[in-house]
Amino acid sequence: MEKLSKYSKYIKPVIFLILVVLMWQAALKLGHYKEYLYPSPGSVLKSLSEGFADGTFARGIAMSLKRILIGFGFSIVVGTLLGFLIGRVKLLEETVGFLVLGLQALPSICWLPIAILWFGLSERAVIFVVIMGALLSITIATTDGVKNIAPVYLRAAKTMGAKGWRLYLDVLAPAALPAIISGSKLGWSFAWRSLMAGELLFITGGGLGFLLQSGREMNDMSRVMAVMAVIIIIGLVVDRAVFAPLETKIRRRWGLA
Amino acid sequence: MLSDEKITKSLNLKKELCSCPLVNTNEALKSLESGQVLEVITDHPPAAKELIPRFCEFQHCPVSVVEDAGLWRILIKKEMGPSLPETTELRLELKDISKGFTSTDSKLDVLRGLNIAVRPGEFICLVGPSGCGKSTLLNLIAGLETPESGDICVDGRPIKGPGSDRVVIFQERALFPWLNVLKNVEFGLKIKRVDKKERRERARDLLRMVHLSRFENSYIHELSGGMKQRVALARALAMEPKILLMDEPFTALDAQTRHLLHLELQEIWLATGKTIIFVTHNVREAVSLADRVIIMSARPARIKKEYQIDLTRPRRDGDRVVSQVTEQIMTELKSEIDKVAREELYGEA
Repeated sequence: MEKLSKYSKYIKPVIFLILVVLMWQAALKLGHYKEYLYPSPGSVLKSLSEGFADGTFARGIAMSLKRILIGFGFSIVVGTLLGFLIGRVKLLEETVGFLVLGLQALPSICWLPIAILWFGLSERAVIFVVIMGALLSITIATTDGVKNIAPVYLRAAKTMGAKGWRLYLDVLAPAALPAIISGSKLGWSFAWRSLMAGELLFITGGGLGFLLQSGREMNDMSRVMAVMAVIIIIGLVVDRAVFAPLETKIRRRWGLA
Repeated sequence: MLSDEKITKSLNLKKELCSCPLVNTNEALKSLESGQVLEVITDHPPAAKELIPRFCEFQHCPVSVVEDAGLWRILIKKEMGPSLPETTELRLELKDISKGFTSTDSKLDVLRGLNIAVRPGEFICLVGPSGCGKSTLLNLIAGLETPESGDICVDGRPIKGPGSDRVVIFQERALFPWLNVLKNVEFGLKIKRVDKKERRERARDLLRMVHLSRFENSYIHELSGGMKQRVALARALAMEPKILLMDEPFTALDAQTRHLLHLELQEIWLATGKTIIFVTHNVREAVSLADRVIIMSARPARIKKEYQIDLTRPRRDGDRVVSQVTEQIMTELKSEIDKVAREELYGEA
């Protein structure tokens, strides 16, 4: 019973998706659409299995994941530290914090021209764009988290003699963890979007965005749609299977949900 | 070994009759003359093995415990005189304390010229209208805030900032949700760099004292309100403070749980001999707990009146004398509450 109810929430969306595919198929049958512009679900599926069979997709996924792990990992470490500093030091909040908020308004792909001029058409340019996508939102979320820590935690810790770095490590950091996790979840989706945009525009070097671009160049519409499906699935799986359960668990334990 | 012939008074503390062995033992002992012997019969192992012997040692009274088929017979000789001198030293002294807060357009005097003296082991309740500065006063004693003028001394020495000799128990939500119950209790000891084995042992002892041994691995969100406050009590006691500062700790609890915690707190107070400063706005709570109830006036707060409460413990909620004293204090407090109401509703000073 428990098992059943866990999966039952997926029944309706799955049925709906099947219906969409059927309607897609039916529309192609009824109308006179050019196959090379409007591929059938079947040919997209075929492209998908071919892409995985010859290893093209696997190499693309590995390349994209490597880039995002470097960029996102860097963003979590630096963003959390920066967020803590801005949250605790008034002067930094009024200066760096102000700048961070302003830069957040800029879509991260707008950093690509600068990145290419600075780093050339290199790996570093694309990772730079990923970092600009994730870093700022993680920094802002951490700052908010640190500033909204219940004062009673700090007072309780102080009355038990905690001060200095012990206060940061044993109280401030864990107390801000829910905000850091939420910020990272948001940061992940920004980073993934930035990476795809970067790989699309950045002419060499593989990755899923590059596969998308090469599909267009070869006029292979079913390949394009197959790659899009892979991008959607990876983005969703990381969000749903990694961040969402972590966030729920931590918010519950912290008494926030 | 104490002998049987001299028993002056006998006390039956079988479990179903008594949920607070120390409070009852203490009361019975109070009624005896020096040199007389009290006999206590109990079927409650922790009381016989731990609580009552510890309490007697603390009170410098000779004690002997004999077990017989699941019943314990405890003989306590009341001892007074040179071993228990009337102490004139003060545990806590507040001298001419003033404190105000400045906001953008005005200065708010919260406390003005406050004097309080507390003897070691005293149980003090501070009562006053809401917003009168009770919590501010507690924060000052804790060292979390500093007074504008005046001195706060613990054992004759002025305090400098927070210290583990004065630990605060807050109203709610002050336990760390990222740690389990055991680690919460260990927190202060970890800060003090007590080694792992010793702090684990001490934390487990305290959890046993507040009857939460079974929950040492639970996380805070899995506990009820009453259990949380018992963990908070254990966490504070782990620091071995001289003074426990309690800031409306039971206000968020339902009446039944609160009553249970009142009994538990009195037991712990007797078992540990802590000095307790307990802030509440619930007069009945103050009367059922305190040795001395201090009434504070509306802002800027001064001591309006003090009541020595010499009623026997445990004091039952419905007890007639408790109600009378409560009534009397309420009347005294009412004029202050009216003053606050007038100020807040009609802006009169």
